[in-house]
Formats: sequence, C-alpha cells, structure tokens
Amino acid sequence: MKRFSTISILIAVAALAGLIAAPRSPKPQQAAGAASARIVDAANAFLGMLSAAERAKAAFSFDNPQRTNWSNLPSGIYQRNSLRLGDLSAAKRASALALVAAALSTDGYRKVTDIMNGDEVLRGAGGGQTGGRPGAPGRGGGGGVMFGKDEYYIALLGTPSNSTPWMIQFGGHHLAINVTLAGRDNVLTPSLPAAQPARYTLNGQTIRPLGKENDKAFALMATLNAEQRKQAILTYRVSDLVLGPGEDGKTIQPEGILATALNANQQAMLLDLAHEWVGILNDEGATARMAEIRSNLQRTYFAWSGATENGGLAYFRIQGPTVLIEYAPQQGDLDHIHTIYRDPTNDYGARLVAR
Amino acid sequence: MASMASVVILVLLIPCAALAHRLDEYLQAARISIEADRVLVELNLTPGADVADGVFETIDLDRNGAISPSEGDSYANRVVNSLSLSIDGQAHRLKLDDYTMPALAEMQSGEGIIRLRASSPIGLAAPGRHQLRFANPHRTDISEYLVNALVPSDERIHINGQSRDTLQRQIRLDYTVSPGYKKSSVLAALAPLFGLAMVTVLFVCRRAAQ
Repeated sequence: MKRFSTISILIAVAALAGLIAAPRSPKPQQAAGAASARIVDAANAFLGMLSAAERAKAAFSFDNPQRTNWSNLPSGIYQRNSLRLGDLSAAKRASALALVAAALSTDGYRKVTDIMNGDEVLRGAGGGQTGGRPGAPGRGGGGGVMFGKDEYYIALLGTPSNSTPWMIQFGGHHLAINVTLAGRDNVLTPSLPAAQPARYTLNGQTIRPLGKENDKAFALMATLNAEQRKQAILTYRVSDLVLGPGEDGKTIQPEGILATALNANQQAMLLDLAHEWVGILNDEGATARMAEIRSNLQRTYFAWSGATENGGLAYFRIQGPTVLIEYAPQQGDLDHIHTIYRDPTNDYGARLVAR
Repeated sequence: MASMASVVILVLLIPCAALAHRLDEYLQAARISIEADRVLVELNLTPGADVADGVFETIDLDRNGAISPSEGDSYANRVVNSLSLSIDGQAHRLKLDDYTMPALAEMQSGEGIIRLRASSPIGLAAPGRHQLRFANPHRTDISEYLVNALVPSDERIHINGQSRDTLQRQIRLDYTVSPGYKKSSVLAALAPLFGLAMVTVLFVCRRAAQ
C-alpha cells in the first residue's frame, strides 16, 4: 500500500513535470470565420493541383524553420526553399495567386501585385540604382540575381484547417507575406511590403505600390503643430529598418509622440495610416487587429525622421503594444522603399497559437 | 606567386557586376539590452557591395580570400574593443561573447551580415536613476549607424530617456531601477523551495515504505 502511494506520487510528479515541459502542439481553435474558411478552401484547391514533387516543395510542418525563411532580397542572393511561381503551369500559378488573394483584402492583394509588377519593371531596367544588378553569383547559387514576377515563392506550413493553426508564406524581392491562421482568427505579422521602383507606369497608369503610405504619413505630419513636431521628430537620421528581416522577437524602446498627444482627427489619421499595412490582410483579420491597435492607442507612438514636406526623404515608425510599422527609404533613394509590419505579441500568430 | 594566385581567386570571386541594395555604406546596427547586472550589445555589420572588398581586406589579413577563425576572432574583437560603454560615468569594457561571419559571396552581394554579441558585467544596479552611454566609432569613414535600446526584460528597469547624435554613433540612455522583485524573480526564488518540498515528500514516503 505504501509502495503504491510512493508510485502514485511519482506518477503525479512526472505528469506535472510533463505538463510543464511538454512542447505546445497546435491546439484546436474555435470555429472558423468566413474568411478563414474561404482561405482553407483556396489552399486545398491549390494543394490538390500540385504534383507530389511540387507539393514537397510547397508543404512544410507548422513549426518548420521555413517559417522565418523570408527576406526582402531577390532570388540569387536569398534562397527561399519553397515553390517558385515561375516553375508552375499557368493554372497552378493562378491557383497559388488565388490563395494569396483569398488571404488578403482587395487592396492588399492589389498592393502585392503592384510590388510584383514593380519587380518586373526592375528586371527590365537591369536592377535599379540601389537595387540589385543582375549577373553575380549569390548564396542561392543560381547563377545570379533574378528579378520579375516568376521569382516569387509560396509555402504552406501546417495543414490547411478551420481549427488547427497553419500558415501561408508568400514572397520574393521586396515582399514577404506571412499569414498565420488559427480557427476564425488570422494575422499578417511579420510582413514586409517594399517597393522599387516606388513609382512606375503600367498600361498607361502610374502605379505607386506604397504611395498611400507615403502620402498619408506626410499628411499626418502636416497637421502637427510645433509642439507636437518637437515630440514626434527624432533628432537623428534613420537610414534603414530597425527591426527588418531576421530581427524577430525584439522590441525596441519606443520614441516619438504618444498618440494621446494627438487630437481626435490626428489619431484617426494615424490609425488610417496603420491600416495601410494592417489592411493588407483580409477584412475579418484586419478588423480584429485594428481593434487591438485602437484599444492600445494610449500606448502607441509615432516617430519621424527626415523631411516633413511630401516629396522629401523621411523615415517613420508607428509603435504600440501590438504593432510596429517602419517605413524606410533606402540610401537616400525615394524610388526604393522598405517597410515592415510586426506585432510584438503575435508575430507568426504566437498569441493565436497559444490560446 | 601565392599572393598572385590569391588575387586571381579574389578577382574571380568578385561579381562581374556588384548587386544588392546597400552599395557604398557599411551599415552598423547596434541594439543595447540593459539588465540588472550586465549590459548586452548586439551589433550587426553589413558592408554594402561597393565597400565589401575594403571591409573584407581588413578581416582577411593573409589575403587568401577566406576568413579563418583567427582572422574572424581578431576582427570581431577589434570591433568590440573599439566600442565604448559607461554607466554613471564609469567606463565598462565590453567583451566579445560570440559572432558569426558571412560567406565572402554574401558580403560582396551587400547583404552578408557580421553579427557580434558582446556584454559587460556592471555590478548589481542600485535602485534609483542611472545613465548609460554607448559609442561606436568603428569605420566612421564609410558607415551608417543605427543604435537602439531594447525594452528591458527586467520589470524593475525602465528607460526614461534616449538621446543620440545625428548620425547615431552615440546614444545616452537614462534609466531607473526600481526596488523590489519582479514576479518572475519571486517564482524563480520559489522554484528551489518547491523542489525541496517534493524531495522531502518522496523521502518521507520512502522511509514510511521501508
């Protein structure tokens, strides 16, 4: 009897230790929303079209290190290890893009295609002044830097599901879209929309992939009075993203003007500016993320460095408990913009997966 | 002859046309973490494609086209030794903890990142106001700088003010250390007691069973 008690205690202790130490496997989530269900259908349709070899390149386990394998860099410098659009038939490529479109809002998908079309323009221009110049060997060993719409890659991590977490990763030069889905909820962080050229003409239309981001930020700056500017404008030059690719899990000390020092109209403009990134995601997911950002407005900062007249070079940052957005022209080139969107609490859906 | 061969190898490794984003700048991004008893500095160094060869030459001292462990150690230590750190006016020496060097081709692409991690013990910070100063004077001839403080993981430490020079070569951080323990410290302190209690229970049970 006494031995039985000892064994019981040992089992209990082991079970307790197991509960503490067990790795967190994806847990079933609450029922899917309409957007998530639509995305799951699009993912299954895409996967259903792939050959076994293609599927092997596109499909990863949810916790695979591929999750963090994204960059702003072009093929040839950076190896993405997933399924390349240029290697797909027209139908499969359309299905891949349909999946991306399903995960994003209408405006978000347009932004993605504007960035990709811009890279096609860059390809025609030979790489750009502060972009890559074709012809050199890169880490990928593919014989040189490659630009254009073929050089975008798609990966699915985990099994498309209405209940358990999974992820869509799509990107290439100047683009990284990471959508993590968990039941009805989904997040876009971390993601990197960038542009080079930042302005180009296509079919007679002027395209500015990040034009609204630029214009809305300068418009907000224009409303700040002298005292507000004093708080918002950093006294130093910022030449690049602080928390760009590879800088996961870091939170910098915030700076700039606190949103509570802005009037209601300026706060609305700040939220509208943030929505340019958050709203890339499908409306359902973006609405949830915007609600979080709005509820944390009293702890959200807006920081600015550079020219205050639209047309000049400026870096800016929006930082709050659930958002970090940076906008950084590269090396004094207005035609080459990098941006990043992160959620310190929810990159790769960390908060959703832990629920 | 050997040096000629090295030059040939180096020339062959140099891309016929440079590529990538950052061209003629050496981007140096520092991140500073203040802890209760030490300061950590992460420094990412990214030479642009047009300056990569010059930077590489300062690392590859024997000019054989590759960075040996001793050359890597030497360069990483030189950089870290050039950094300055002080707390409340008292200088503290940063010591290199670890580093990674990119491949030559990556560096020449303008996207190879040299990653350094250094730290300095600063003694247990007394409650109250403190001031940290950090400066990075490495390669001011070609560099662009970023320097940021990370939000302290220790809840007792609060950064109250930041001040930099225009080029971000220097930063001053004003911070406060609050008295008392954070929750995680209390839990950490209780963990051994919990373990001791469990061992005692097991011991008593075993004795009872005998």
